[in-house]
Amino acid sequence: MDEKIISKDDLLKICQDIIGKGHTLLTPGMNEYFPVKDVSQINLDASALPAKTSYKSYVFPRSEPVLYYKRSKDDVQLIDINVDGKNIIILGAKPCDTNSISIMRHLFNWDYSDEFFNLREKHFIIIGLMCSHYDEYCFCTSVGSSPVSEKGSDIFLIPLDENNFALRIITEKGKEFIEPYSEYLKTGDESHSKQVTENVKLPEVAFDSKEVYEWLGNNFESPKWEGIGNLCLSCAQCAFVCPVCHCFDIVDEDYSYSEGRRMKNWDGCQFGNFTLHASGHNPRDIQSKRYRQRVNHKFRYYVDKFGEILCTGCGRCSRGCPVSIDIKEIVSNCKD
Amino acid sequence: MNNIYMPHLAEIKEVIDESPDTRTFRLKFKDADTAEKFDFKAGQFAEYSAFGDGESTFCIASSPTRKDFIECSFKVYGKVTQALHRLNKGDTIGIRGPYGNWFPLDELKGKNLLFIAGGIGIAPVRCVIDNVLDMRNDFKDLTIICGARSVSDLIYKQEIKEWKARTDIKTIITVDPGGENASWDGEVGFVPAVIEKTAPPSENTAVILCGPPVMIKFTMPVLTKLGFKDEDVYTTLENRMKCGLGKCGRCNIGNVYVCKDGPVFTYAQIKRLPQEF
Amino acid sequence: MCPLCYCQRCITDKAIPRWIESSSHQRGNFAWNIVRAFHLSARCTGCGECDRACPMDIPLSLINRRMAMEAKKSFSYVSGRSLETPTLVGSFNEKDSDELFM
Repeated sequence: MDEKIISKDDLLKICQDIIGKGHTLLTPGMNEYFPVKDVSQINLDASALPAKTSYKSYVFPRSEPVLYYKRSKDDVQLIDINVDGKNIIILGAKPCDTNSISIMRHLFNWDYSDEFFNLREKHFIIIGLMCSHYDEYCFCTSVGSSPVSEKGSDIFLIPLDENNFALRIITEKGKEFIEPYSEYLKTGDESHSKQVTENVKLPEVAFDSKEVYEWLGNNFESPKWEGIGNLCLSCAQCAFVCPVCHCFDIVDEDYSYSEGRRMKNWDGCQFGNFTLHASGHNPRDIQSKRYRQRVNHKFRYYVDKFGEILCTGCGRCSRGCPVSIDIKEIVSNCKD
Repeated sequence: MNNIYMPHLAEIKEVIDESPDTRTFRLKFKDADTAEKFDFKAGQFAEYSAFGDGESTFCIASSPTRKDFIECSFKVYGKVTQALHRLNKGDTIGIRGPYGNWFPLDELKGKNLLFIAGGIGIAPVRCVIDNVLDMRNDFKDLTIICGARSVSDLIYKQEIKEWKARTDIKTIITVDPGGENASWDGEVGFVPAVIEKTAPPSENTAVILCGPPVMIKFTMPVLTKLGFKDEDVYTTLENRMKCGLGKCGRCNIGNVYVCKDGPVFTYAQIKRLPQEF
Repeated sequence: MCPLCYCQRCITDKAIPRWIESSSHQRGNFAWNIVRAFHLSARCTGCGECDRACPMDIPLSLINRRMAMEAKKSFSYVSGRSLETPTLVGSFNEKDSDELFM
């Protein structure tokens, strides 16, 4: 592993240069990852909670047109979209967020490649930052990640003291990105940063994901689902704040009689309309079935399909839930 | 950009009113190159767009062996099918596909085939029947049992007439009791009962079964009784779909995506799925 | 969460015709909030559940409070004061001011 040391001031100089070049630099705020206008906005605080939403919307927007159409009396014309993959540098991404893109990548490239996702993702540089604080909702350690996980990061930062970071170059992409700035990098010593990462307090492991996987396979009809179904309001905020939920809807929107566009919009499996057939039949007609789908999709189906859990353990869905459903608690209860 | 959500444009060459609420479109791709390249297998489906209203999923009802056009049949239910129903000859729709798996006709060669269809379920079955008829010598005895609620609900009347005229297929058409009219010369009775009466021996026979869930529910015990094995019964599942590409997340039954792992399943496979469809 | 949302089927769920677009652009979001504001004007009891439930901490009740002010100013109506008074949105009076109409 290639480890360097960089001072905070030098890091901010790099940021200044990135902004100056017109690239988008995202950094986490309270609510969301926002594009930095001035380096004074950058807060590299490893002890902050995850922002309320991840940067998922930069690679998979909440709403995006997939085509435009023009109708005349007896003809239709289609206009394709060109996604301009702009360089986006994400600075200070939490390990529970860095993971997300690599998890979603499987789905968007399973057989058919979704270039809307790929072209954007290709231009991402993810600079992860170790996380030193957790709250009652965090459970990254239960889904195979950790506050010091480098997975998904191109470059990973570990705060050594108030003014210095250890900078680990993880991927080729990261190496290429940092090369022009090598003047700012000092040679680092791995033992130093290891001391920091080893002392990070880890959230307690709440469940064994393999056991959960097994339990889900045998308990499709468990009465436990009904209890959860009665609680859930089906507002689907959990899907909207989730860094890896990827279900979407495709709808047409007319601007006028002759013009319109086809949109790909975020959707949520907790909505009753999600699986409603036009005939009125609904395979997941009640909330307990929909919640069962949510948990199964994350902890079983996705594992079956792609070998990874569709969850990063960030705890956002639980923090935001208006009726305080805690997914960690529910999954921990997925046992006999 | 390779846009997987971009449909091909096709012109409606002909509109056939099959029943008061069911229509068939005969479609031709506007782009000759697409028409040439558009290759599918019996059982696959496509996404049909009515621009301004969205996309809807149904099977391709014509046979892949007849390449001049493709046909689709739909029953008016929701927003998109209503919009499609408003279209006329000469109008343009979008087609994305073909998606999903297909009936394994290559594996079924040398067998007897029993086709059972109910209601709009005849659309996917018709695709297979026409496909099989175009390679008639590869298969042994063919039997078609087709049911509808009433005589006016019976679709593909023209095709049925052609099948009936042939001596190398046994064609049995039935309508539910009360659905017959004065000139009806077919059977009267529910599909399962008709099967019990008229089905060929189960020996070396595969079944292709499509219809409403309630028909399938009552047909399966009859087939089992007659000695058909679950592995030899092929059917299609339908779920709401948006993308058809295994991404949008709504058509799954357990870890099976109907749009990618289906829509064709054997009854044995369906039995193993979580009962959520 | 709202104690005054009582529709069996929300207008956002209706697709034929599509009243409120599901896309999260201004048109879709604006339409939803306008519909909600009108439904709750002079009805909102100020419980604050919408603020609490919003995962993004948007102070949604401000919209309702603004509508309540308008109801008081234009119609001298305050919700929740009396069981006998007909509700503002549910009643029509020819003498009502039409200044609010655009």
